[in-house]
Amino acid sequence: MFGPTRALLALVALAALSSGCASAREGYLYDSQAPRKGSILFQDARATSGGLIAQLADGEQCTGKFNTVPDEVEVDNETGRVDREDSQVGLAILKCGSQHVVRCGFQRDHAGAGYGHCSDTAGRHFDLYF
Amino acid sequence: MTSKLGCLSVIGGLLLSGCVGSQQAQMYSMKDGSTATLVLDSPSASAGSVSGKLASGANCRGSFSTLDPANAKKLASPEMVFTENASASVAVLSCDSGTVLRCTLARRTGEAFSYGECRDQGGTQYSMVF
Repeated sequence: MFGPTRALLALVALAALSSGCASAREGYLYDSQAPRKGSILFQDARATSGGLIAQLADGEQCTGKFNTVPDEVEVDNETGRVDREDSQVGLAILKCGSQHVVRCGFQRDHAGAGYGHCSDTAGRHFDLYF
Repeated sequence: MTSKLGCLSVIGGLLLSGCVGSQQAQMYSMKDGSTATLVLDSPSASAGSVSGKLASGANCRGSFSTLDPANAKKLASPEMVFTENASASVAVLSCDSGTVLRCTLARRTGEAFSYGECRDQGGTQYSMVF
């Protein structure tokens, strides 16, 4: 059914995922007006950008993406180049139902854990923890 | 044949690294969820031209340039986070329909853009993740 090349690629992808190269991170979207929460999944929380899947507290499904820039960094004194990004800030956009968009600004540490604040096209607000 | 392949590899590398070419994002209206597009030419340069197309079909043209992240912060919504260790840019676009978009954008220094937002003269915000 699959050629040897495809089978090899699938094995490499599986090995990369299981070895932690792509590390998914789950979090929560807390509705600021009601005691309820939805969930959000950063498909690769260690990457500087990537995909998102979320389910809002009312069950609405969303998909989207995020991207980041460095906040705190460690710089090589000789070259002046950034050796490591200790923390990052970013923006995430989730496309949910028809004409419903959620936008989140966030900050996170080098391991991918963080928090943020979101607002949507319906005027609602959410607190984001992941 | 070998030299042709070499040239193609160099061109491909340049395109992938963002040294030449353009960068496009889908902008989401935070008022009604409608989508527009924004295209930045020379996305890793400190200044360049930018174009866009609103959901109404109106075409927009303008330019972007770099500014101090502290000043970009004053122009943007709370969810748009800027840091001193990232590069901030501002873009202004004038559209056929009379709409004027003022945009703030964030990126790693010397790299292509990560995220941004625009605001029109009516106060409608448009968010984008590259």
